[in-house]
Amino acid sequence: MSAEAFSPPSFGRAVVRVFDLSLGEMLWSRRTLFMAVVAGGPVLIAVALRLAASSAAARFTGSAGGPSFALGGPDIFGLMIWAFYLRFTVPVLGVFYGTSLIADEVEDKTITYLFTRPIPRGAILVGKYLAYLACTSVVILPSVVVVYFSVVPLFGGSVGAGFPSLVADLGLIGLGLAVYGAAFAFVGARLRRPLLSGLLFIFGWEPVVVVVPGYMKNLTVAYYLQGLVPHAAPQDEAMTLLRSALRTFEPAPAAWICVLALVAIWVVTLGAAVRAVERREYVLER
Amino acid sequence: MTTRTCCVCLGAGGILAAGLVGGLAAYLQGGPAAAAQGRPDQFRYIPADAHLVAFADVRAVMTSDLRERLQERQPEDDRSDFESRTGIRMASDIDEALVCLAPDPSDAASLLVMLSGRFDQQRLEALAVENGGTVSEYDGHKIIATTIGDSRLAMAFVEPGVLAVGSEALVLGAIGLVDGGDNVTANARLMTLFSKVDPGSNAWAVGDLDRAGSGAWMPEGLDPRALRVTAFSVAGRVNGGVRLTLQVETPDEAASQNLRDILQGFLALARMQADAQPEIAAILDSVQLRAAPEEYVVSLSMTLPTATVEWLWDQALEGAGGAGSVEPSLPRPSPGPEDPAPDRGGTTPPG
Repeated sequence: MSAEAFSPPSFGRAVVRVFDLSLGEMLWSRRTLFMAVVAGGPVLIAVALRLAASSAAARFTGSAGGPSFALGGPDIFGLMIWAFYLRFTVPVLGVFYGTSLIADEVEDKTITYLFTRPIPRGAILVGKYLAYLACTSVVILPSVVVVYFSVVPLFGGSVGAGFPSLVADLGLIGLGLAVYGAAFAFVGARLRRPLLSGLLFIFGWEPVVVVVPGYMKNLTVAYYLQGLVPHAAPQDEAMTLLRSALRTFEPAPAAWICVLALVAIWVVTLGAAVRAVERREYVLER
Repeated sequence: MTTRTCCVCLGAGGILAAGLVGGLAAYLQGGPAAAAQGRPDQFRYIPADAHLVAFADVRAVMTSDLRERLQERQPEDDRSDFESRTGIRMASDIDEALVCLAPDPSDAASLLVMLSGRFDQQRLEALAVENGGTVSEYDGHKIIATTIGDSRLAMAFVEPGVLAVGSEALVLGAIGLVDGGDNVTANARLMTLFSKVDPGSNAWAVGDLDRAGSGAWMPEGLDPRALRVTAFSVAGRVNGGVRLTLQVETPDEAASQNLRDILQGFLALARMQADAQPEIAAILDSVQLRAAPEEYVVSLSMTLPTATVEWLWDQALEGAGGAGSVEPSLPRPSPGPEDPAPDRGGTTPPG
């Protein structure tokens, strides 16, 4: 092949090549084992609930010092989505995968091999980011479906009636993965210790700021993500306490504001991440 | 992409697709109806310009544990009087009741009640005629009408097992809707309010108070325009205990804040006076007042365990002088299994 005949691949083709390469790497990494454990927890709980309900064939009731309450299958599913996925799995996966997109390559000193390819640097980040989305979606979304079909039919719940909620939940989790991933991809591309910063953000900044009155909660992803949760929380006193422990901010902004804010965060942070990768000089430690 | 990566992706995609297809199939087989918030069938007889609609799943209420407990405390005579006159046993013959208020140029009452269940049609018609009703026919349906004061009231069976009672114009309108036409489901305002009704409720009411004359039914002194209330929805779940949720819409944020302050003031006043009444204090403790200033909505919810409802019932009976033999009772631990539940997947789930 002559030098004149060679032309570098377009941005899109480069993204596809990086995606193809990165997806396999991510899927068969040790992180996936961690992700499988995180995603498998709710599934195990759901299956255990299903088995317990089948054997007991009784309503799931409890009390917390006040009036007793009962949960239906859709309520339990809503709480699981809320507590397990949106409050834990999505941000944690966003941190672990998002920060590693570039940082891992720097740490392993393999980024040079990528940057010396005749492809735009931004395409490397975008391709890896899409691979992260595919990798996490492949594990998380099926687990949500399994949990849904295990839990929702319990205690009089209807799979059909709750289907719109399932679709909304899947979309919400996908949106959460996309936004958290983009935000932490930027952190990973820009900061020296991205994982620590990311963990501080999701376990330090977000839980604290959302309970502080004022505008500070607007500087979190969780605030907007939680505003889109389609499940109304049960009204009982005990459940209100539980809800206040899980959802520590009131009132939630309107749905369109949440969507707009999340899209804005996604666009800005992903764009900033691409820009950072394209402009920054990564100095590899010897 | 390697083969095993491809297999994992296909497997995960398969689970996801199977779940979505299965859920969609279940949804299409009955989900949409449920997701449409269990709209009562009688909605099709309610005029589109109704400004208040209330519904009760009478069967669910009458077969509830709470009702059985309260029935034990009710004098036998009160229970049998209605049944002996109409032949209707409330506990088993009426399934659902739907009430609406709608503009009616010929009748200020403008009330329509739709009852579905099992009725002795001939007996009811004979009873109506005995009480001065006149029989006529409209669109193939037998109408029994009478005049009370300035109002023309009527009753008719719009279909077997569905009785319409109320303002004559509205009853005739209901008959006119038997073969289709614009009914209350075309009323976007009421349907929006309806969509906010608490899931699993077996009794609810929604009202649009923003139109001229729409608040005429309210007690004197409770002018919705003076209170700056534009709409409301109230829902209750009766089983074991009672769970009530009231949502009130206001035209702006200031009105929302004012209403919340007023309600907070009332609650504070009630709490001050409830110190000597632990039952009242328990009720007030269960009250949760919330405001969503961005949506101009104030909501109030409370959960009353069975024992508290029994206590209230006893107080009401004693106040009415009809239950001298009823022993005063303090709230007891709730029986548990049938206490009010959120029941998102209940019999009337919202859409």
